[in-house]
Amino acid sequence: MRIRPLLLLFALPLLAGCKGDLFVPDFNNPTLDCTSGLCELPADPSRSQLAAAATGILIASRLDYGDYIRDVGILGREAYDLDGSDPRFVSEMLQAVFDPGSRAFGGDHWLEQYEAIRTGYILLNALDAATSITDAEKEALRGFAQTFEAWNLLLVINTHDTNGAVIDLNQPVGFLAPIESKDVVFQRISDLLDEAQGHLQAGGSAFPFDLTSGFAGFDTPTTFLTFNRALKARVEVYRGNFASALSALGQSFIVDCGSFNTGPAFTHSTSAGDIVNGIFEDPATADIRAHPSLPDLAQLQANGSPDLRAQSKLFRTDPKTLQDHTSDLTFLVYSGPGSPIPIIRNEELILLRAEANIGLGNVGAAATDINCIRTQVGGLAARADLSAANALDELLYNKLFSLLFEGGHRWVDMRRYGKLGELPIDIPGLDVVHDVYPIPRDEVLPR
Amino acid sequence: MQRRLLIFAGLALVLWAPTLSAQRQVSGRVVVERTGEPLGGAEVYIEGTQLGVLADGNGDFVISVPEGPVELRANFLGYKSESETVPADQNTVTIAMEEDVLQLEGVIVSGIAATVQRRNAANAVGVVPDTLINRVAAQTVENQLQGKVPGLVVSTNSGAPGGGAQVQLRGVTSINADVDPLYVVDGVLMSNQAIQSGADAITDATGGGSGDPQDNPVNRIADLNPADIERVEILKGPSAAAIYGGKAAGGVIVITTKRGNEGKPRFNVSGRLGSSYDAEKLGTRSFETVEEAIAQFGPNNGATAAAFNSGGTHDYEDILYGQNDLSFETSANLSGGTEATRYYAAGLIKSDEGIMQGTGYDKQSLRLNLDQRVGSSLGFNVSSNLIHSKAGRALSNNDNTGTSFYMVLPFTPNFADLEPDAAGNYPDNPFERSNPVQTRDLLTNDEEVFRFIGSLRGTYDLIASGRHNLQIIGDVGADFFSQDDKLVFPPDLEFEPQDGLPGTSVLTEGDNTNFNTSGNLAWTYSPEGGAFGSTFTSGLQYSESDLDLTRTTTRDLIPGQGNVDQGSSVDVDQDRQRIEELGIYGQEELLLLQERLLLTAGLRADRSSANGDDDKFFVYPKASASYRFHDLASWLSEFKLRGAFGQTGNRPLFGQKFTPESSDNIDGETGTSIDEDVIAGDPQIEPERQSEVELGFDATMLNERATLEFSVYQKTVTDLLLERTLPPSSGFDTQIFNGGELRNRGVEVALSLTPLLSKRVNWLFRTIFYHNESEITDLPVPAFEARGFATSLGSFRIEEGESATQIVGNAGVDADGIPIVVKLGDAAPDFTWSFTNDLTFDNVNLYFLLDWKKGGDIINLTNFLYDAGGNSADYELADGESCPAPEDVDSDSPGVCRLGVFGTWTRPLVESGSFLKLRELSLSYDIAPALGQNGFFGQQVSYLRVGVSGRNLLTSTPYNGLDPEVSNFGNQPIGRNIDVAPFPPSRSFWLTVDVGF
Repeated sequence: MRIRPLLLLFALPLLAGCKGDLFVPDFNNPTLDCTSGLCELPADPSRSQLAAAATGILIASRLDYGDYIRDVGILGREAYDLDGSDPRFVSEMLQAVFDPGSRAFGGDHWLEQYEAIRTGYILLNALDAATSITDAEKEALRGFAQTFEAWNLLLVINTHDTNGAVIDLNQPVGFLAPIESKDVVFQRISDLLDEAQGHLQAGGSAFPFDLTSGFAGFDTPTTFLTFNRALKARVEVYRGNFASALSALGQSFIVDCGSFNTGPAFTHSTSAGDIVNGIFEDPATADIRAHPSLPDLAQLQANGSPDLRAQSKLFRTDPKTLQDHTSDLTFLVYSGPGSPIPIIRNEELILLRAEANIGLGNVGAAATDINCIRTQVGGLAARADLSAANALDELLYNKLFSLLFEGGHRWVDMRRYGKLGELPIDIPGLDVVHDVYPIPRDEVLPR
Repeated sequence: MQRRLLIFAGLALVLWAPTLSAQRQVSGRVVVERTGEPLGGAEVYIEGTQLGVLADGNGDFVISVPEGPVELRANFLGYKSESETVPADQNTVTIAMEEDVLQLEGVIVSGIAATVQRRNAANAVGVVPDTLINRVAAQTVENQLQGKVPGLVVSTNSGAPGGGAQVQLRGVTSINADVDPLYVVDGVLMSNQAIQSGADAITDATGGGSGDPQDNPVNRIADLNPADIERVEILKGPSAAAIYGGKAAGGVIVITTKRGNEGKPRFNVSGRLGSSYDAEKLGTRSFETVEEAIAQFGPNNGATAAAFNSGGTHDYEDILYGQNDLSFETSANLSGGTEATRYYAAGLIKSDEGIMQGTGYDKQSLRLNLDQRVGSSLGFNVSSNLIHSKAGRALSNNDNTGTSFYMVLPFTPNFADLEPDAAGNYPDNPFERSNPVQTRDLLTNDEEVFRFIGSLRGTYDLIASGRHNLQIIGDVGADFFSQDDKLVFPPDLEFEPQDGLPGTSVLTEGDNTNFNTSGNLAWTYSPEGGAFGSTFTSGLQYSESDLDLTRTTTRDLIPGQGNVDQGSSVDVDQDRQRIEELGIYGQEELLLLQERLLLTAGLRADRSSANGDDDKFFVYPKASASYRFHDLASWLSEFKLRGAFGQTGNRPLFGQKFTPESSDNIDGETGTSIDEDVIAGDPQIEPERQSEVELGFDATMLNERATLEFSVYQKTVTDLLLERTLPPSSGFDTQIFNGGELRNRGVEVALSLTPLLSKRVNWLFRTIFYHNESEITDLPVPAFEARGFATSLGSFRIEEGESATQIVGNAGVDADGIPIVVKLGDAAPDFTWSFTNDLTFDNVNLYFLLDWKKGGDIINLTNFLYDAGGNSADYELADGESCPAPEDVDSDSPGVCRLGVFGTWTRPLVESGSFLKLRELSLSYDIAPALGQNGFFGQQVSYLRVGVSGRNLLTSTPYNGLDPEVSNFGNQPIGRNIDVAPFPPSRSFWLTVDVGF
């Protein structure tokens, strides 16, 4: 009889213990709930959690953009990266074999963009049930996230072109969606931008988060829409839909012959937790070099000195050689580790309008815009001789120097017009111009 | 312990029970058979009952026995049980006990609250008694186990003072999860965390190819004082350790500390004085002419010629590692007690001087163990230990900054003069980025630890009827330590301006708390007639561990300042990991057929916060049987066949169930996003599961003068914690998942012999053989590199159908110029074999332990660095010699040839790590007998030994590096054997005086 209460004392903690809660959170990071496979924010996220998720889209989209500009710039012979510690900047980027298994080279510009898109869906999937923000704010966030999904897909299809890309992305972790053709991908990008337009138009007067100083002037749903339309214009030009490109430009932030640098940008800084502009290097010693053929391409001003754009963007220093590639030119495009990187600028919009007009046969309208850029930015004389025969070459010349080392435009533009063969070959027989990135090995292996 | 408690219970009965029959008094003495010395403290009881007494300090006892002939049995730890019949007409008796030198008797652990007679045990449980521990001073407690248990391999990671050693039981137990054994010290689940010091802020070892820190950390079991240990029991695999379930994947090491015995107080003091010496040097190339020097090092703006022409050479290994200051260690303990209260108090003060100026290891430890009986059925055991240690470990292992000593020496020729001038100014090293003499003199890398370990165990005898005994056992244990690593690299150091922020200070603060508590029920039952004996134990155990780590790194220091607020660039990082676990268990042991057959079955169910589903119990069963044959042959007195099966688990690492997001900011706005650092967790992640079958026999032979223990085992690990590569379009790079299978098979043999056993001579010989083979039997992901820098530098590759510890490297190129990767070696040894001799002749004792490892390859990158610097001692070709064909170049070819094939042929970097080491040697003389009864201070001295001893005195190895025991990455599941600029090994000599009162 003395035994029973004692046994009870013994049994009680045992029973209690078996039922006890052993949950321990991750103290070190915010975590996602992946039980559904989709990886979602915790249920009913707060306003600040949604704001952080939205800012995360900017952070994730920014992460690879510098490398993208450098790498696509190397393919388009805007740049070299003569980095002695990695010979693949020459052996893969300038020569065969473009290896889909090397993540920093042939296999690049895929994962990071899809990580940014996944970051976007983490926000999008949380919005329907969210109670901490208004319906208008939800619409604003949808428009924001979809615009950046479109932008990231554009980088993927720019690099992978005819190899296609994956577009069915709001799927569980590890889901193997099909690789769609280039046309289908471009259609998806265009549709996304249009859907985003609808959401932004219903998005009220303000975003529920701060878009950073890089989006000054584009930080309300209404003004952000002008950025969305600018992207739409670029996409429609790439697709050859010149009329709809012009219509999108009309709704964009385009300004006639002025305000050339207006446009949103990714900011950088040396603050803790932020990242620096990874393609800025000290121009005197930089590993990243400008292609030595560029100065010869630059047209001369009336006084005999080169195009102002070549002067302001290129810097001559001690030559550097790696694997028989030599250059004494570095870039002045970015001024320091805290320099922002523009996403799209008015200067490009003016040139896109010219390009659309050339495509539609309106050489006269195109000449106005081209001469604006030539005279106002390049310091060159206006050309009166532009015709259907020479307008495109003049346009591509201006896109090269106006957008030099700013978005890999040369490679993409030359490919669109079948002119990759005109790019310089430094070591004949050894160097090649790659026309497209292979689909990364890890994407192909499980298929 | 249990037996003793029962005796006390019995004593109480004797005191209380009215005399049932006529009694008589028998007086007697217990002595050691071989020497005739009295044996105080032995238990004497009437055979077949629990009635007994303890012999006093002179071995004398008096016991009340019934009229008529009676049989008295004496038990004492370390001696074979002995019985003597006392005829009805005789009232005195002498019981002579034989020393149990081969450890045939005693109980060993078989569960959390269960023990089993060693002669019945169905597992080959390793036991290291205190007589084999601390014979020779060691850096840390793991070194005391080296070569003493088959299936247990202890390898030091470097020679740095303060420790850093890996204990591996029965081969490879995991690829990605924790591999340390579980340490249970007096019921406390003691933490063996290894916290990186933060030296990476200087070395940037993580910057090149491998993201894992290589700070040469100490694993914290090092804090334990070996002199406090009574015995170490080792549950090597799941078949023995299943009752520890999900904590026991790496085996269990149960450490019992010393406790007081009833009787007069005993006082022991031990003093050691010694010194350590650099055991191995690599040497450097000697340059004959200035042209040769310039050809290798370049003109360096004239610095090469100037240095060479200044004449003289310098042995920088000697300059850096030539210190042999005096080390000392003093330990003392006081123990004793009454029937109700027993105590053991011990203290240690130790100061090990390192072989490099500024390095060393100081430790102070205080222990108090207390046992208290309350009434007849309640007892408490308290254990407490307070430890403070301070280690100076300098800088070693890999770097990417030219700062770690053996990273600088390969590029610094012996003609460079780096000593400071008369004014104390250090010259810049013209050949590398740092001056190692200056670095040694100015750096601070101190690690300080405060630790408390305490436990309380209560036992309550609910029923003690003789047939039924029911005991409730509850315990609580806690282990808290606080570790601070303070690293200061002043701005004046040559390398400090490298990053433009001269001066670096790192403060790493780690707090770890382990807490565990359990409630247990132990029920023993033996029916009338003794047809069987049954022991049932069950219980519930809750445990938690909580590690909170904060590291502050400050650069651009104000000169002369070391605090982390005294600089312009401050970076702070915090990591907290907490695990909560709950286990329930039960086990039944059935002893049948005159205690010949033992059958055991048990079950453990575990929940853990680290599992995806923290509500789910994972069940680990076990079952075993053993049968003893008596007197099969005249030379074979006992032969036991045994077989055991069991399972254990290995919980996922903290955080593997979670999918984290990265927190960063842009323009001051914080955001959460997926980036390349994010590894997708698995919300359903489960523990790895190990299953083991162990079969073996134990034979007692040659009139109990020899024992042979033989075991084979097969251990299979399933549901491995692996990482799979996801299709990148999924937005995640890799994901954790369970899959695959890994298998270990091994053989363990232990042979003990007493070739000589007489009154004057006692010779104990023991030899241990161990062989293990692992294989990845199923791998659901493509082969991957588990450890290493690149295949050209040798790499550990996990590949289906291959050994888990295989080393691969490049062997030529294919038609496309792509390197061909082949297997070049295996880090697992072919076997380990050790030999212990313990020889006593009168008062002289000679003891030594030889430890032999055959095979086990090492990736020697230190040697490669010397080659790359054109500075290895064997760099040059002899006159007329030319390099072998590239495919024939190996580690013994001249350095210039090894370097010549680097990149294409990795074979020269992979070397055999075979060794034969004289681990321990001691020679002592006991002068107590010469002192007679008067002894010291009027006290009789029970022993007074003076001796000399040494550790790692001799090493014979074909290995070209400093020490074949090396691990750049510290304790590792796979990929230990990578040699990059380690702290060199030392040999130590000691003078010892031990005295006991």
